[in-house]
Amino acid sequence: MSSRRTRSRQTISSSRITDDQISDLVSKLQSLLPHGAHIQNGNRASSGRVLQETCNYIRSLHREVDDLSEKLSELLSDTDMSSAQAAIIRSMLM
Amino acid sequence: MHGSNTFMQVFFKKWLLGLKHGGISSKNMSFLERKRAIKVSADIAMAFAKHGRTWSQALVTNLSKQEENKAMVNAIFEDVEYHKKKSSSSSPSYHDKPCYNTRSKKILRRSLQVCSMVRKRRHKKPSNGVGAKILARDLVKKRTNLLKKLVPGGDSMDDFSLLDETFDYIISLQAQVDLMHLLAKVLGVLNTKN
Repeated sequence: MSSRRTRSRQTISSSRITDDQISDLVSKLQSLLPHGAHIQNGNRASSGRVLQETCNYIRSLHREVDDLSEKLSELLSDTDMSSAQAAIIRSMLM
Repeated sequence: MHGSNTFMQVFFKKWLLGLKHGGISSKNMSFLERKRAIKVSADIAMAFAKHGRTWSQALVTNLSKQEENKAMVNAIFEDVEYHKKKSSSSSPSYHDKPCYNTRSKKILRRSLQVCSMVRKRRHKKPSNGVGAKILARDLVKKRTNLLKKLVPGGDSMDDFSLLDETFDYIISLQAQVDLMHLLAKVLGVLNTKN
């Protein structure tokens, strides 16, 4: 009996806190997105859109990291180690 | 550039340490091996620079699951500065064992513990209290689940923590991209001058 009461009390207090905090977080996320400014559509209605764009953005960031890793791999194999500047990089990396 | 200065400094420093450890300037490495070393060391360094976050702990745990990554994880989490201070304060002795209870190793150990705790929590009934009202609609739920798979450790987070962690994760990813661009630029300049 008492456990049920505490559980319902917890749900009430947590949903009172999170309504505003969730929409705050959603708009924070929106500001991170590259085209975040264009998704203005009323606060709650756009949360699904923000989530979708967030997923797309994370995936594109992952791809970019992958591409850059390839680019760096090429550059590090090409770098001529003879010049003074290259020697500095070499000492950082070896 | 995104991220605070200290975060970027720690990130970059640890990344270089990881690159050194990965032996990426060796001529014998294949293109793909080098790429892998670059990417993995960048991920570990990023997670180290953001220790304490659920996503960073999950990232390290996931990377540590692969045998070939373990050495680099240990290299990056090994606190060299601490070792130096330790040895200078006490008289040198061959019997002195390196102190493994460094701050970094504690972080690593804690992150592995958290992830095993998190795994146990998953078997309990999922508590839907926090933020369930807003994100309960079907379409939003579907996208939330998608997001959970993209953020390290996302599967076991409640909706509110997921958004919070996602925000921090994206900022860190942006910093990772910025750093990689920077290094590519520097190396590109070097190559053209030669």
